[in-house]
Amino acid sequence: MTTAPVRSDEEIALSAIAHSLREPLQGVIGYLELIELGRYGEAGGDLRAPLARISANARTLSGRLELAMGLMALACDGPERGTGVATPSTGPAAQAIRRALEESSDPAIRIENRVDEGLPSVPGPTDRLVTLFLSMLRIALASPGSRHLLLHGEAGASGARFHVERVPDPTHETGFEAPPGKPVEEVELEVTVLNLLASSLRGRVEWPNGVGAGSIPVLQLPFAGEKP
Amino acid sequence: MIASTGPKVVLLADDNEDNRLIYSAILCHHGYRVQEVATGPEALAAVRARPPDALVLDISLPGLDGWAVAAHLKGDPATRKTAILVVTAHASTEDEIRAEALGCEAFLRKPARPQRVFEEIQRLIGAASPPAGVDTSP
Repeated sequence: MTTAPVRSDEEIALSAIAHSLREPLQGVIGYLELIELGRYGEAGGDLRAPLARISANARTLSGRLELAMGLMALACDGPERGTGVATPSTGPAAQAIRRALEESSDPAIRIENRVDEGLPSVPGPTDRLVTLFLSMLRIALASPGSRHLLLHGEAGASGARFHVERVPDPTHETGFEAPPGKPVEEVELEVTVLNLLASSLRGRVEWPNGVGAGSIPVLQLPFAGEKP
Repeated sequence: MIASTGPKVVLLADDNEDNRLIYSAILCHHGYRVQEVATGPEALAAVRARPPDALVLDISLPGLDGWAVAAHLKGDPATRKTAILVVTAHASTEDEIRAEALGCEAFLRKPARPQRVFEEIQRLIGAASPPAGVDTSP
């Protein structure tokens, strides 16, 4: 039998908060999908539009919840309180990322991991950062029709595709794009997360096209890679 | 061994009634036979009495949490073949790793779309019933 991982009071509290928020959201999303599937009969024409809006808002809320939880987790266990240096070959992180990708049925999504000896180690609590990264990744995977969040994204013939792949230099890149017509200020939470990620990982955020609607910030991280 | 020709059985172990209703609805819709329990001891007893093809296991179960249920079931040769899909709102990377270490076959974090739960069950144990006309005998 495996033993339970040792958790701090903050982690226990965060887990309880996450549980209390996700459970009712589960009910909202679950019943909505059953309605959309016609489990309770066909929804009339007047109901379709508001149901679609409720569904969209529930998905947005779910994504924001995961981001907020990741942010809180990072705040509870910041780099100055973390274990200091993480090894470059964090197998569980690689497993978790692969699992997140498997949740998507998009065959265009792939991930390549590698170990680059001699790269700078990742500072801070890697598990927290990986959790946050996964939250961002999940949002991207769950919203294939959205251009709200891109992870090393490429625009294809059928719209935006999300890729996580090795980049030619010893960094991992991620970024997100404000949807056309949507002021970048409206994605404030994501900007906060992005800046926090950058500072926590001693990376940097660049805005090649300037800050504004449609701009694409790029996060460059000294992430040393993981064993596949 | 005579292969069962009835629909495959999925046991739902979740103390939240809404979750049981939602997952039961989608799985029944796709032809699975669904049983429901609300506590850890009930989950253990139900699997031991008649192992289902799959168990959708919440972690925050009263009486005995999902981790203990999974550990008991995967440690018992009589029940270890039941595929376990962990669906939990206490979801962290560590939880995913722990579920895998216990031998659980799949892990989803709540909120999990009903269709996603169905797809995962189908991936683990196949369709609800064997295709008509297929001889499943050895």
